[in-house]
Amino acid sequence: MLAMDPDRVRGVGGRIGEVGQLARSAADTLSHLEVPHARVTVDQAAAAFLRVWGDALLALATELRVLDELCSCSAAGVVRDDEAARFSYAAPASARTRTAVAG
Amino acid sequence: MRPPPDVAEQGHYPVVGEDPTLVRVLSSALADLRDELRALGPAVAREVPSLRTAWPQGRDGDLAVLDVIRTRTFADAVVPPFGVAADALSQYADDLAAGRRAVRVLNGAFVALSPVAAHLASLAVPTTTAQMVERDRAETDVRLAAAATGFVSVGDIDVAYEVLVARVTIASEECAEALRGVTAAQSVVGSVPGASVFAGGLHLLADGGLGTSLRRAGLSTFPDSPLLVAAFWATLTGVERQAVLASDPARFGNLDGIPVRDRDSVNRTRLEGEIADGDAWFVAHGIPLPHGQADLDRLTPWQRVRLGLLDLPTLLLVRPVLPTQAQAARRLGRYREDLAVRDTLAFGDAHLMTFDPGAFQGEGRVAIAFGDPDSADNITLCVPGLESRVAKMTQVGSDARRLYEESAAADRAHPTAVIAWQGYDAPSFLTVASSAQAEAGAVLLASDVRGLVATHGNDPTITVVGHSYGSTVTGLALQQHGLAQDVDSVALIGSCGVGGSARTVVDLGLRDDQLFVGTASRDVINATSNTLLGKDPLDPDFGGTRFRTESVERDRPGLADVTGITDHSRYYDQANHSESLYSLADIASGHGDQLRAHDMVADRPNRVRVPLYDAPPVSPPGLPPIVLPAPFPPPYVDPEYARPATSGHLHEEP
Repeated sequence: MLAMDPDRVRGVGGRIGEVGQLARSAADTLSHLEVPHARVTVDQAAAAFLRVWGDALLALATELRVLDELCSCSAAGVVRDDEAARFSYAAPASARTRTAVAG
Repeated sequence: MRPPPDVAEQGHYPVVGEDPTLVRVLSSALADLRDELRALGPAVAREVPSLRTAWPQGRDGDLAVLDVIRTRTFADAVVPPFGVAADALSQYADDLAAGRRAVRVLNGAFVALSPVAAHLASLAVPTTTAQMVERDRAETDVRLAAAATGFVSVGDIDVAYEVLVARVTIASEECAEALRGVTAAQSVVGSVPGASVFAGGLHLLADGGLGTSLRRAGLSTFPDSPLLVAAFWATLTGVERQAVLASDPARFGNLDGIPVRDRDSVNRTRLEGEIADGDAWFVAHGIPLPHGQADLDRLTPWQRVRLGLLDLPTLLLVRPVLPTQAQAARRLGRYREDLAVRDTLAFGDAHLMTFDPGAFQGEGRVAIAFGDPDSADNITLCVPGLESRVAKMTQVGSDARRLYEESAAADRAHPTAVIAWQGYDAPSFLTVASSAQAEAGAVLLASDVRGLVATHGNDPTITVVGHSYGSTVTGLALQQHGLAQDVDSVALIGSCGVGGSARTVVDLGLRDDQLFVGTASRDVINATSNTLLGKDPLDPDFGGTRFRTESVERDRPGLADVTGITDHSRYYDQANHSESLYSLADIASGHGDQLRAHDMVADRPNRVRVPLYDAPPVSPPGLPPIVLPAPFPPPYVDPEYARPATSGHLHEEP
C-alpha cells in the first residue's frame, strides 16, 4: 500500500520536473557559449569552466527529471512504494528512465 | 615581450589580449545564467514540505525527500561559481578595454613623436647658419611633440607599452586563476546529485558491497571502537564512504571514529529532513514558516489551536491535556530543537558532528564543532551543566563560539576547534543532586573524545571545559573512563564537585599543571561546596591552578546577581572582555602556563568554613536581625571576593 497521496505527489513531481527543464536549458545555453579566442590562458580556463559546469548542470537536470518521474510513477502506482527508492537510485539515470517507461 | 596582434591593427603597437567585446558577451551570458540558476534552489526547496506532506510515511518517502534536499543543496551551490566567473570576465573585459585605449594613445604618441625624432636624428652636426636653424626647428618640433604626447622619446613609449603588456598579462592570469578556482570548486561542491549518498548507499547494499569492504579491510563485522572505525574508514573510497553513511545515516552520522566532515554532511541532511517535516506540519495548518527557533515563542493562541496544541476546554483548564495535544506538544518540541540546531549552525564555520534528536527521551543529543576538529591543532569540548538541552542549543553554542574566537586569537599559529557538546542528558533542578546522569554522560564524553583522537591522526592539544554539573561529568570521565589519557588539560568552572571519590588532582589521573579551576567568588555554587557531588576542586588541597573569573558585573543590583545565580553563568561572557573568557582561551589554546604571566592566577579560598550565623546580619530598623544565606559573604574567606574584578582582556586588539 502506498503511504502517499498520489495526486499531490504527482503535482510535486511535475513542479520538480519544471525546475529540471530550467537546469537543462541553462546547460544547453552553456554548451553554446564560446570562448572569445584560443590563445592565452583565459581561454583555456574559460573553456574548462564551461565544460565542467555544463556537465554538472546537465546531471542536475537529469536528476530532477528522474525525481519527477519517480514521483509521477509512484503516484500512479506503477512502482510500489517499497520498490520506488531502488528504482530511482540503483541504476544510472538513463537506465532509470527506461525502467520507468517499461514499468 | 610583444604578443602578436589578435585583430588587424593600424598602429605601430599591436593591441594586447582578446577582444573585450567578446569577453564581455561571455561575461554577460554567464551573469544571465547565474540569475536564472538562482531560481533553481528555492524552486526545489518549495517542494520539500509539499512532498513530505504528500508522501508522509515510509523509508522510501524519506529517501525521496532527502534526495530532493540534497538536490536543492547542489542547485544552490551552482550559483556562486557562475557569479565569480562572470565577475572575473567582466573585470578582465574592463582591463582589456582600458588596454586598447592605452594602445591607441601610445600609437598616437608614436605617430606624433617618431617622425620628428627621426628627422632630428638624421641631421648632421650643424656647420652653417641654415643647418643650425633647421636643427633648432627640428628640436622645437620634438619638444612640441613631447609636450603634446607626454613622452620625451620613442624609447619612453616603448617602455610604456611594455608596462601595458605586463599589466594586461597579469589581468589575464588573474582572470584565468579565478576561472580555474571555480572550475575546481565543482569537485569540492560535491558530486552531482545523481550520484548522491543515498544513491550510492542503496547501490552498495544491493550488491553486498559493505561486506566486501569489510573483508578487504580484514574485518568480519563493522568495528565498534573509534580507532578501528577510523582505520576502516581510511580503507574506503569516497563513494564507499558515502554509501556506508547512506546505509544508516542516523547510526553512522553519530559514530565516533568517522571524520567530522563526513558526519556533518549526513547529519545536516537529516536535520534538513526533520525541519522539512516541521515545515510541512506548519504548511498543512496554514501557519507561516518560522525563520528560527524564536518565532515558535510567538505563536498565537489561535495558531496553537490549529496545530492541535490547545483547545478551549484545555485553555480554560476545565479538562486535562489530551494525548493528541501532548503528542502535538512533543512534535513542536522536536521542531524547536531542530530549529535551535540550525540557528546554532548559522553562527558559522560549524560542523554538526552529532545529531541524535530522539536521544534521552526526546531531549536530544547534539554536538556542534566550530572549526574543524579533524585538522585543528587545539580542540576544546565545552560540557554544559544543569538545565542544558538541545532546545537551548543556541546558548551552549554561543558559549563555545565565544571561546572559539578568543582561543583562536590566543594562538593564530595553530588552527582551533571548539565543540559545543550537548552530548549527555543534563539534569534539571529537581535531579541535580544525583550523579546518575553524570555517570552516564561520562561514558559518552570519554568515547567522543576518543573518537576525536582517532580521526585526527596527529596529536592535537585537547582540552575539556566542564561547567557546573558538566564538571562532574568531566570528573567522572577522568576517574572512571580513561579521559585523562586523551586530554592535555581540563578546566572546571563553577564546579559543583568532581564526583566519585577523587580527593586531589592525582585522583583524576592528571598532573597538577593539567587542571585549571575557575569559580567566581559570588557564584551561587559556592554555597554547595563539598556537599553535592563530591570534592570541590576549588579546595586548597585539591591541586591544579585557580584562575581568575571575577566579572565586573558581579555587584550589579538585581536578585539574580545578588544571589550569585548570574555569576554562575558568566564564565563565557564576552562583554567587557572578561577575566574568565580570557583565561579559558589561554587554557584552550594550550597556553595554561601563561596564566601567571597574564596575571590571571587567583589565590584559593580558605576552606575553614565560617559558621553561617557568623555572617554579618542585616538589621532593618525596627525588625530583628536577618541572617542572610550564603554567599553574603561566602561561608569561608575567599580572597577573590574583595579583589576588584578587571575587564578589557583581549588576546588581540579589536
